[in-house]
Amino acid sequence: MSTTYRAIDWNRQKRRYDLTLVVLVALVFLSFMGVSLLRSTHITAETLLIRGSAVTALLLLHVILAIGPLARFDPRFLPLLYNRRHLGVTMFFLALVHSVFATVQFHALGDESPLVSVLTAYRQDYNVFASGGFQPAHFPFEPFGAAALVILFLMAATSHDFWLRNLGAGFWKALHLGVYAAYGLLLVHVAFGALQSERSPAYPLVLGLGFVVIAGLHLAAARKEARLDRAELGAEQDGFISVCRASEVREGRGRVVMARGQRVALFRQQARIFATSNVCRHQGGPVGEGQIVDGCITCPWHGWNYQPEDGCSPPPFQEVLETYNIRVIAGHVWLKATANPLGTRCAGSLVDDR
Amino acid sequence: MVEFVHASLLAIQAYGTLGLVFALAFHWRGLSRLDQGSRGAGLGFRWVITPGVVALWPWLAVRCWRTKQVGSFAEGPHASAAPGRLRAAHGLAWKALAVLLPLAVGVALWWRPIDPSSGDVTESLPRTAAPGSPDASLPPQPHQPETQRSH
Repeated sequence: MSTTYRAIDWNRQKRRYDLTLVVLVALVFLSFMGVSLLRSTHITAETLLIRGSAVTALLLLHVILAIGPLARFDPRFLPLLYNRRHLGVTMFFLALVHSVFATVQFHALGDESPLVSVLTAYRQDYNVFASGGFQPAHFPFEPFGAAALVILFLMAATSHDFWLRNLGAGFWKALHLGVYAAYGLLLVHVAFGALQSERSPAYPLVLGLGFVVIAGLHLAAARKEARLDRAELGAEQDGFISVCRASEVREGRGRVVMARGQRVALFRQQARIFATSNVCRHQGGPVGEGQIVDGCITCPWHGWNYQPEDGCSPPPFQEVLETYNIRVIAGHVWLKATANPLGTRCAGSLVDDR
Repeated sequence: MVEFVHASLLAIQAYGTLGLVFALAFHWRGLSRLDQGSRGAGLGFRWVITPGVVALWPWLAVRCWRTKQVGSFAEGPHASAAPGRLRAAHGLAWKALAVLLPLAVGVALWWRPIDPSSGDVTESLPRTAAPGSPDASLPPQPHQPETQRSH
């Protein structure tokens, strides 16, 4: 959280995160180069750079795509989510290195502009039906990579919070869902490109395994979310709905419940239960999966803070979450399904655990 | 096709040039008008957002114009994404990928040429010459990159 924009709001955690990222990327890159040199001493430095950057970028993209669903299943992955945008920007730069060197190496020697050659070379050189049948080795794979690079550029260029605020949360999120399209385009790029000449079965197997793991994680997470949305409502009385037992809300921790189609975050602090909207004002993170730190509800994604009693961020910040009225009766939490106007103070409800 | 690509690249070039000009004006006057949070922001922040300004300048131009008409247009601190719709979009995207990607990759692998080492693929594989191999020393043909398949 910051009141004035900065290029990067550095803190100790971000520095450690980025340092680890740089070290791991360098390790993967160097390992790939080492293994490639062991397999073939004829390989040139340019080819090593082109392939190494591509492999590292693709691996990083898999990590990026896995973090979200993994964090839904196990909060121990949440620290990886904290600075995921730096992973994305790093991945874009690796993809850029790959595309620039590949364009120079394979398309700069003709009489056509390299960029035109990248997008049209297949027209003369490849004909997918050249020998009568379909020939994927003649399929133009470069435009798929180029399209993915454009998407990755737009995502990297708009990764700053300035864009989130000025493009609007809905549009920004929709734009960044483009990562799935980029992933699809890149797999097609690899399948019709590198896999046409690389004959080892290990390559398609690793690529397929990566896809199965990523798609499986996302579909399982979507199923878990859908199950929560379908949770049956408890009894209703005077506009209050019974949502859970008070003992299920642990001290200093959050719990997400459903109330008439919307998710509400319950928190317990000093034997009182409070309820706020579950949607963080920053990136829509699940506030209810966070905890109370220094008296404030803390979003698990990027650490944005809100006071439990009124949903307001501590000064000088201005973000506010809706609060909900709560009653704890006979060990059960009853929640008023209609949110209070923004900034409404709620004293919470005292829990008697005796 | 080549003409179309030429024209498209020219259009992108013109769009980018206009974007650069817009970015200069935006940093000079538009930014602080559009979003009060940027007042007092440093040079580093301005560098970081510049590629996005160049890429999305028509959007920002409209926003700047509307800000002049109706006041600040940046989303207030109480705005948020609609998580339900986003969850639905996520689910839909992965269902589509789960069907389309195995299909596309399957086609690429199923019909790929026989192992080049068997010598049966001279007709089906495009010209490939690893850098440094005898073929690579040949002058490249006009508009014919010599090693397309080594990415």
